[in-house]
Amino acid sequence: MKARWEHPAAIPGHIPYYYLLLLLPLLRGVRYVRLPNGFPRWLRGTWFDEAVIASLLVLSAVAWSKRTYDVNEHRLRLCRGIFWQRTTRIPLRWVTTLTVERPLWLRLLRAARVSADTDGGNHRLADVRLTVWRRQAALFLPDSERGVYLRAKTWRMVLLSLLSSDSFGGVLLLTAAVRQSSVLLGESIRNTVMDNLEAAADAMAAIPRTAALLILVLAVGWLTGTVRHLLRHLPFALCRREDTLTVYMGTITKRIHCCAVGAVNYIDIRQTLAAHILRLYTVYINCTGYGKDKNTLAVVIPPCRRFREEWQLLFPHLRPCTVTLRPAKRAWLRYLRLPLLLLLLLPIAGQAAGWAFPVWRELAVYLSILAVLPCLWLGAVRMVAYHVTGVGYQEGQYSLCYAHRLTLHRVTVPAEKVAAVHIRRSLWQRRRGVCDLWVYSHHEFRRPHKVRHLKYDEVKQLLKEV
Amino acid sequence: MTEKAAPCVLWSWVLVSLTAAVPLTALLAVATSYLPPVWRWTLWAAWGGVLLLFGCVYLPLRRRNLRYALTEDGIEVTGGVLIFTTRRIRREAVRQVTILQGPIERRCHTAFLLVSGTGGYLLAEGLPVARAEDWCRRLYTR
Repeated sequence: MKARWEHPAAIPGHIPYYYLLLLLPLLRGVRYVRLPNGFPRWLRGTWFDEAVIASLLVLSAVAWSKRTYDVNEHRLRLCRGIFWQRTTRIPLRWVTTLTVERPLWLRLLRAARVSADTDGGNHRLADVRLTVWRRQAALFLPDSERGVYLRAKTWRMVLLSLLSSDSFGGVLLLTAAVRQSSVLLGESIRNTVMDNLEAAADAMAAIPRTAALLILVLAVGWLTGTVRHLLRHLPFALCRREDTLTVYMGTITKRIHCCAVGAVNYIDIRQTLAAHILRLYTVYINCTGYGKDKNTLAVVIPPCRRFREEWQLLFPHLRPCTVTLRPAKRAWLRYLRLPLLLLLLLPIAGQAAGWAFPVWRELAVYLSILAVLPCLWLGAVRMVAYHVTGVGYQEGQYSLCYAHRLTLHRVTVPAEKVAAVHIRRSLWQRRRGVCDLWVYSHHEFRRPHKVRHLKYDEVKQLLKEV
Repeated sequence: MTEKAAPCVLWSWVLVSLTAAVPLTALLAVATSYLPPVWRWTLWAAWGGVLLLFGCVYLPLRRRNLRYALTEDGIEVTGGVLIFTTRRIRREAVRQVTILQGPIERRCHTAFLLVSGTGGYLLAEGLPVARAEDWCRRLYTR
């Protein structure tokens, strides 16, 4: 197939690569700052700055014209670069995830963004990212219409968004939105938002005003995060065809992720404490490229109580096996050590802060009481983690149950996807005959699954059998 | 079979180093303009010395020590000036191969070969283009 150019909408995307050129006008400005009568002299030379900006635009257009791609049934080839010309070849059998993204502005221009990822390359960005015409994007997607289709109900996606929403991310987004609105539409927007927040905080009379404001901001941020997750993931549908798993999602930006089933490194059933109490299970996969975008969740089965039927349809070759090794009986104290320590220290820290800053005494004491709540939450998670943690091995698959931060994980890893297994023992663990098991699965970077405080002899026995 | 880097790779490194040195020199020019002349000339002399040492000693030694090999197991690059390192990527781990050519490489018919694998990447500098293409093909057909 002959080489093709990207869609012209890709031209602005090249501009950031030449931002370094903007140093030249900056240096020119710095030079004139020190001179007497510098401003008029600087003004006379503005043609130079304009020329730099024009060259930035021209270079972006030239970079676009030098960037070509061609794809056939075997490989993808990408040529790029003005001075440094690079040719990358990726056989399609090594592509783990292929993503077609269609934001609203690209849909209006009849374009789409295609990303291809492999197990190698940059672990933060897709290995190949192209902006192509819409009809060209179709070439990248699997053409077979046959397959198993699953569509997630809206309430499940709402639950997913509620459970995975991030308050701080929402607050950041909200702050940026309010700031930009006040720049575009005037200060009145910001003043209205602040007035409403303060009025709501005043209504919460039982709580100090600053603490009430903090709670309100976090709550609004959490809701914003939920709405953002919903817009990103709803409507959510899946299709399993032969050896590919296709995920469709997005309201404003439509996204299609094609994951190679053979490239799935592990399947992870995640639960927060709330989900554990409600017996809701969310299934994620680790397939390089899927979920790499900021704010995209690598979810395949949204929260539900009976996930095994859908799992069976999507991954019939993998089954979560039973856990045979459990943590040592006396290890519960190790699980609860951190929350207990925090529960002890926080009230003392609050009192100490009150004595050190008498003006802020009420707020400090109140915040220290508020901080006890997350510690209790952590304690509850650790308690549940102690009961669910364990390791199992059956029919060439590892089952690893553990808690990471505030989330419970139940990971199913095929043995061929395990890169390394480490047994770690501290001095205390040696004395007690326990150990931590770190299992490294195939990934773009090293991130182990850590199962803590298992009996050393049992782990050795299990690894011997494997 | 072990390969040595082509001599023209040295000019390529010099070009890249100069490209990096230009903004640094410009920054130095702005910074030293605030200093007394003695300090200014001392800093300029030190900067010149660093550039000279880098271009005349470090880069030639680096080129002399560079070795590449494509074996049955994978691709291997050995090199270093003070500390020698050997980097290897197994064939099974290779995921992408990129051929890079700057203006000097195009003139000398050489290329850089960037091999990305599941555990990282390695760069083979100053290979003849034909050999780079051949290695690229051999890495794909496994």
